[in-house]
Amino acid sequence: MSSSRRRFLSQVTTTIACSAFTPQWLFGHNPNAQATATRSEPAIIGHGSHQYKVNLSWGQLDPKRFPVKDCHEMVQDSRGRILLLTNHTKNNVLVYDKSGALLESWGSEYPGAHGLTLSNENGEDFLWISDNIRHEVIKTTINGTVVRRLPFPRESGLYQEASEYVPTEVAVAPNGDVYVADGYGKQHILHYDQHGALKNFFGGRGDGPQHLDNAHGIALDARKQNSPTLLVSARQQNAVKRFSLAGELLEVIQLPGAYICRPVVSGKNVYFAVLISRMPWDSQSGFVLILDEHDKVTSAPGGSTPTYRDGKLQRLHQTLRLFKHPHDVCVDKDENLYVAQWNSGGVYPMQLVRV
Amino acid sequence: MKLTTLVALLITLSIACTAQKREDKFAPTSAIQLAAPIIQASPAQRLFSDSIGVQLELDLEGTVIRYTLDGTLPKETSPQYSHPITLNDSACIKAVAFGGGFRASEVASSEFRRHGQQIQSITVQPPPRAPYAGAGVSTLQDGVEGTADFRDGRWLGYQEPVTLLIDLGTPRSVTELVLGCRQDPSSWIFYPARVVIHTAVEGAPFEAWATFDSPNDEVAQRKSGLSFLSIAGPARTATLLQVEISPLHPLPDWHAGHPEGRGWLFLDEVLVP
Repeated sequence: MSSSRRRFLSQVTTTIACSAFTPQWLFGHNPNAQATATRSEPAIIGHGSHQYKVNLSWGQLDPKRFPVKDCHEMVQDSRGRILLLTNHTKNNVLVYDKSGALLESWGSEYPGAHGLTLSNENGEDFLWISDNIRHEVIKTTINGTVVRRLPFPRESGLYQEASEYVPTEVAVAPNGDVYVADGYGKQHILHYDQHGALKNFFGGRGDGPQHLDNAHGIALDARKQNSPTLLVSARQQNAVKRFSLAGELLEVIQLPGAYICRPVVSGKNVYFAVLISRMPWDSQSGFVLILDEHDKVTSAPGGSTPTYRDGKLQRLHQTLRLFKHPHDVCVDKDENLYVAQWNSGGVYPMQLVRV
Repeated sequence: MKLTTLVALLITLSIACTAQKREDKFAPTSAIQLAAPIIQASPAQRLFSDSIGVQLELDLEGTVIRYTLDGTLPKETSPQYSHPITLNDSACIKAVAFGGGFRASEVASSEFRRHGQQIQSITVQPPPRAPYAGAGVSTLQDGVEGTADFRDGRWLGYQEPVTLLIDLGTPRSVTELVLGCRQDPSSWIFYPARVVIHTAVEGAPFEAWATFDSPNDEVAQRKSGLSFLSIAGPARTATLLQVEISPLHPLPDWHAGHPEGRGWLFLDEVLVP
């Protein structure tokens, strides 16, 4: 190689494209470096009538004694206690009082503890645990004594083996009928009578509006007196779908950008934990979503200002890196919220205090 | 009497302390970081032929987005975004959200590339590995970029070193080669480790022109993303470019595929601006 050629080669430069190949902090200026040392005002998140302060200390426990993996769902029982379901088999259920103090813990046989639904029969609370590793639903007393199992519905003819059936959630109708969402399986909603006999099924995979993709949650919507209906999440479709109790599709409510978990009906509102607002699944881009009595988004704590143009909800996105992957919202009797998170480093629930 | 006063004082103090403690529990704005703005062209693409409109979005009252087009990091003095940015040439947009008392966001960055001049043909050795074979080599010069989904048929996947022979058709001055590529460590896809480019005019031997070596940096290697890798060289007249691209091998020691596993190189487009 001639010396002139060697000199020539040494002049060759390589441009780094838009810094993708170089960590940004190498450039010297880090906009986060301005994190202030001075105290600032408590953050208020959300919009309009539904705004909240963020209580980070609620429910914090010693993770060595009361560990959590994914905090999947929460309910408040009729005594006002807050129950958290986690897939950590050291304590699948943590029972808190409203102040966030632990009252008790139980459960070691629910490795796939995912859905937690409260029902009340003649004044007595019951829990419905959807376990997506056991491929079945388990009904327990409020203290964890098993009273019924709903195994995979072979009798439906829809499934050859249990592994095809991955239940995510249960809803209980006023007459005691039970609806199970197979949200990580074949996307059917299985309708049982109060004794556990299969009556009907609907939903399922497909391209029609009545079909479901990631039927992650189901809830009874009894806000309109005398005409209760079912709300079913279609998370992958960024939508919640309303069905009659007989399984007819009544309405599709589009929630663009919101990969919603289960619907939580409380008072005049429907609440959702939004797991993410963009792909991939671990994008840590979640927030909380609240619909008003007309099923319009009225507030999105941690998310963008809800905006409708020509009646169409504009795509929602995360605005604050407060939540990573919210998986459920529990609304207490004072309308404070508790946010349970999936895949967020084993964090305990976050309390949002309504202002 | 004294005791009553003392008790009253203690109660007052304890109430004050409780109130203080309760206030302390709420997250201050300074403890919360803004999300990075969304950078989105309409239609949603990063390759364009004449011009492209790009929107920046973070819809939170009291916050602003500041941006740069020159690759530098946006500061509080950078231009404030107000309406879609029209790009007539390739640019790297970087954006940061500020305000509301919250911590400034991380930097969002996205690169937009104007199509280069025509390439007459590209040949590739070896062929891409199924099922990531797209529509064959034409996938690299169809002007259609790959999406975030690496199975979308717009990406070519390789596990061995690959050599592209690019025929420009007629001699012209080249200063840059751009490779559309992606990184997705959890799917074992990494940016190229090394690119070596030779050029020639027809009938003459190939001569070395430019090389690229990926910085062996764990933070950079862990990041997922789509990128236009730009490799610049001194202006030179050429008809042919021979581009040898080496996938990252072995995979980094922190990766599940280390040391025996074979990673992937994914390409969606080749430009010679």
